[in-house]
Amino acid sequence: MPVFKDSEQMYDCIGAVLDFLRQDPKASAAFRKSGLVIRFKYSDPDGEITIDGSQDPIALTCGPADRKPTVDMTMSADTAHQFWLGKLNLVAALNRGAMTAKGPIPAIMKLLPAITPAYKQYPEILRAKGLGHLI
Amino acid sequence: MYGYTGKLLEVDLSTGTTRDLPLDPGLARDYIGGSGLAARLYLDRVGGAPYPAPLDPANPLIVMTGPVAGHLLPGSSRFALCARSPQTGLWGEASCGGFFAPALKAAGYDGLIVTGAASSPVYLLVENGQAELRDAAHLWGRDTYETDDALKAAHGAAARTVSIGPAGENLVCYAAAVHDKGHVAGRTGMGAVMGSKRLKAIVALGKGKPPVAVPAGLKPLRESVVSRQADNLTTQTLKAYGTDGAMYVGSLMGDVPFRNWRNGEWDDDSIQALDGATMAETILTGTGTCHSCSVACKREVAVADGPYIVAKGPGPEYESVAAFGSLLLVPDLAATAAANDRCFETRPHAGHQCVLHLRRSIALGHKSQKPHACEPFSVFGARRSASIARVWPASPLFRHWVAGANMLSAVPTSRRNRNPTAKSRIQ
Repeated sequence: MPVFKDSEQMYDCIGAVLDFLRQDPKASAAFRKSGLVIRFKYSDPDGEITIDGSQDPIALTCGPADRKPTVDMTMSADTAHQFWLGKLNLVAALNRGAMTAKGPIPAIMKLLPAITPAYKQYPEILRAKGLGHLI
Repeated sequence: MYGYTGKLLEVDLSTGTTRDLPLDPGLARDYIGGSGLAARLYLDRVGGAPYPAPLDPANPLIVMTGPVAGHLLPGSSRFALCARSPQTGLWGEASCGGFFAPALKAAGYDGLIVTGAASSPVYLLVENGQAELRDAAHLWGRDTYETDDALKAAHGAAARTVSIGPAGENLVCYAAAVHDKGHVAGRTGMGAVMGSKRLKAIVALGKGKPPVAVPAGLKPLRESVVSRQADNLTTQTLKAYGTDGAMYVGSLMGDVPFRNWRNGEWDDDSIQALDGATMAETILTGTGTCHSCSVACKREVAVADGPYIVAKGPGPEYESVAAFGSLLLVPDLAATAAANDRCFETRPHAGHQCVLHLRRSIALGHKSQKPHACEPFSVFGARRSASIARVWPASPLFRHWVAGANMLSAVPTSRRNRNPTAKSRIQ
């Protein structure tokens, strides 16, 4: 059974952690420097979130965006949830195809150090929304 | 039988004889080459326990390729060196990429089974279905780079070599075997097994090609694999940042050894300082590849100034950066590159083993029983060794080691073996 009951709940939670990064000075500076437009395509429930580092301020769109992505990252919503909880074996997930990416991958890898503050934030976001049982 | 040449070469170094053996198609199918097939052949040869001691002439050293080796396909560069390990006493296998496996296939053999021990140093030449043992007295004592140069001068640039340096010759229990320059079969001490047999090197070259069932299908298969690799996040990361691209990702999952696994975390800036992305922006001068591989994860580096000058050449892989960087909490890529370079050239062994030896010496405060790259450290008492470990990267001792100086001569006699029975004082 999927972690999120529907797309709205998934946008509410995963969107919130991406919004945290959008407002975090270090992360937003890294996104802006990369200039990447990253589209996360989720399944179970289906949905997509786009974070646009080519704009200032950085734009975040939950749902279809009219901006053409430079990077497409595809995964299940459960995989995304595990990732932000810090419980995902990223190497295993990549090797098994649980997470796939198209675009300039090295540029994405360089963003990793900038997004680590969100690991601590995500459980707080879930608790604040009364979804502590998902942790 | 497709994919294989169908022949193994058996070499008895004690008698100086060689003979061809047919490769059993059933075994080849069941074990699919490589270390699996080598293990089967090893057990068939030595029978049950008691197994020969690792450095005993009766311990067979098996070099084995697989059915894909030698074809124009990604991943076809690997071969395995296998024997009972002098490091663990258990089964040992060291896998290596590069160009030796295709060369051995081209020379007409799927694998080598080496037994016995020569009375004086020799190297094995395998060329176009012929094998010959040659005198290697002039190579004994030379490092692996010098040995590779000398053998290529003798047999041509197309010759591919696997050789040992002083560590293997002196039976350091975790000595590696080095293929050409910078391709290392680093695990389980196969270099020491070669040293115990006085087998300085193996040279392979030839023009043969293993048979393919559907030759016309090979090119589309290759294109399909390469196309899938192009979209794969892991291979793209390897291409951009090498195996050291795993440093930061690994740290996120607690999969990087900090302070010899005593710590699960380190500060973010230090981890980034050792990451493959940083290497790409600082000391990287180029990339290299193994046979028929489109990834090209090999790093070539150079350090032009500072305390750790490194001439342009093979750079550190993740294991070396972890061994000389995160294990010792040294956030300095130039230092790890210099230490790695030193291991490649004159002290061929896996870097992390070197560090573990240092740790063990620190813990026990005793002198090693075998000549060792870290010998300078192991002759000190525990307190002194611990002190060296803390200041290692900035230490003149480390710089001397990297520079190839005789470390023992730089150490006052009064500081050696100060307290050989002391217990660990590491906090």
